[in-house]
Amino acid sequence: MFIGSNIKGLMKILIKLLLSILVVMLITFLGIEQLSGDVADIIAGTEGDAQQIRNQMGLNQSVISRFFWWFNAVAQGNFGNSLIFEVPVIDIVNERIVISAPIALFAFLISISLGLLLGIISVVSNNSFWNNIIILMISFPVVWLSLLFIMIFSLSLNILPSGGIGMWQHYLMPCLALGISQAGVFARYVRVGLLEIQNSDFIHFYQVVGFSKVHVLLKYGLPAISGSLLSIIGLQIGFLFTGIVVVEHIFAMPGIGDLLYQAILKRDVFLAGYIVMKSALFIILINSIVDFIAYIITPSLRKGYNA
Amino acid sequence: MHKIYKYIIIMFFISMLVGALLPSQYYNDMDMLNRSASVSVNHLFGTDFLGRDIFFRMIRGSYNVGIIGISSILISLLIGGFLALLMSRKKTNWRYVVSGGIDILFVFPKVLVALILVAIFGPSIQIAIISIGIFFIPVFYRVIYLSSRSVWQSDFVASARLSGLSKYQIMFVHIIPNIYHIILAQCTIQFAIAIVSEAGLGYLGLSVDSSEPTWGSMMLDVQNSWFIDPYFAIPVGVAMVLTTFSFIKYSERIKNDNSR
Repeated sequence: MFIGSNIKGLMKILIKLLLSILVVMLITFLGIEQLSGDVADIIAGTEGDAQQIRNQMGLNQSVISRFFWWFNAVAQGNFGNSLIFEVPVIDIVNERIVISAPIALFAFLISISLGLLLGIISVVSNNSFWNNIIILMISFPVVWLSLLFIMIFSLSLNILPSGGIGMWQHYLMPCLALGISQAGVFARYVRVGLLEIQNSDFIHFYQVVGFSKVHVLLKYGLPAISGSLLSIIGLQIGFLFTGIVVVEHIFAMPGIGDLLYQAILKRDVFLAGYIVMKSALFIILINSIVDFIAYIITPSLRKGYNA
Repeated sequence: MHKIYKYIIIMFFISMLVGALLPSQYYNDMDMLNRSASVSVNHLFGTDFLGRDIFFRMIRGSYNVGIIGISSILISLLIGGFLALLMSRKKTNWRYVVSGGIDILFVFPKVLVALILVAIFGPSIQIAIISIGIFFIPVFYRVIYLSSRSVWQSDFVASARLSGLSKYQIMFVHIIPNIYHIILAQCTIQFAIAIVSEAGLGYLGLSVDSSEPTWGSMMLDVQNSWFIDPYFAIPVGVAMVLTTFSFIKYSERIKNDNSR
């Protein structure tokens, strides 16, 4: 019974993962199709025979057969060449991802640790000051926070560089801006979860037995909500991606977010498609892993997964 | 203290109304002699690097931001809410299909949707509405699904069903009035999130075309005049934070009033 229900839930996570991958591939393919327009007309120009080129390139086949053709190429690791840089897209992305990875990682760490800290403090201290701080953090958009940082630390105090890459100082402001604005959202989830659970019977029971409220919330309250917090962390990865595009744009860092922005607006379809697919697959994979961990550590999820 | 939030929200809506009626020469005309001017009688918050009046651009921006927020909430509330009300009625297998599809929507970053749409159609206010709205569908779906599930099980719904009401009639007569305050609180908080999201999209130049200001695109203007006058973003930033803060506080107030 126990193992049986376990396998059923895990199968659901796996099926969802596979379906998500298929949907992402489909969206990427349709996006490439839409963005590139009618390639045959462009190649043919005014003199060439567009119909003949369509036949040669297989463009007159149905969308479905072209999708499978593309799917086959992608499955073999052939993502095509970038139209701007004229080298394989994988090389460019690997080059740029080194810049984005530290920003994402440190912003993520800041947001989780700061969010957890603030959420716990706001529940334990039980006054509205900390709650207001959390809401204030949510209210600051990444853009405005970054601009404010640049105004204060670069333009007024002149102690940090306003953009570029290379030294560790360059990463300080982007990571902080992104981390703080994400931390507010996470802190709110921690706060709401802890507030809900602090009225439940087992918390009251431990308090009656004689443990302090802080002790009970930290030792028994947090593990009880850790399942739902984990799925929030999974979602945070998706939010982080949006943040990275913005932050790299502001601080002039040539990372993956900036590359995507350039690629889509300059209609470099293969590059854009590869980045979209890679990032979406990464986010989906992280979410599945997080779902899986949450499923293992939360007994209540096993009964009615997806409910 | 909570009255202040209410007044800020009322002020936001008044400025939205004024912005809707504002003729375009107020916010688009360039005063070339007074570029990057500071606070004065003619220009209440000064002018930007092209000599456009920041105060009027903010007012017009509040109208655009408000339209984006309200429309994206309406779209996502209609789609997500309707699906949630249908799915919470019975435990069918469709539930897995819908919630799975909705989960995929939630995972897909909104900046991707906006970028792809802008590349195909060019920047417009509809793109911002769609890419923020798509992102809100899962939120409304989950909130309404969780809150309406218990209402469907209640006795008065059973008696309504026995007296012959169809499921859509029950939805409008019994379910929606019972979860109304939850929907309202969620709409209020989503409005705040829409303002924050629009700031990001507007900064990337993905929300409106260049003839109209939004609070996000005014942030973009800062970068163009970094070394002339970086401080003209302050009024917009302060307005943005105040509005968002007030909307979130107000939604908490709605929640608290109804849970007592």
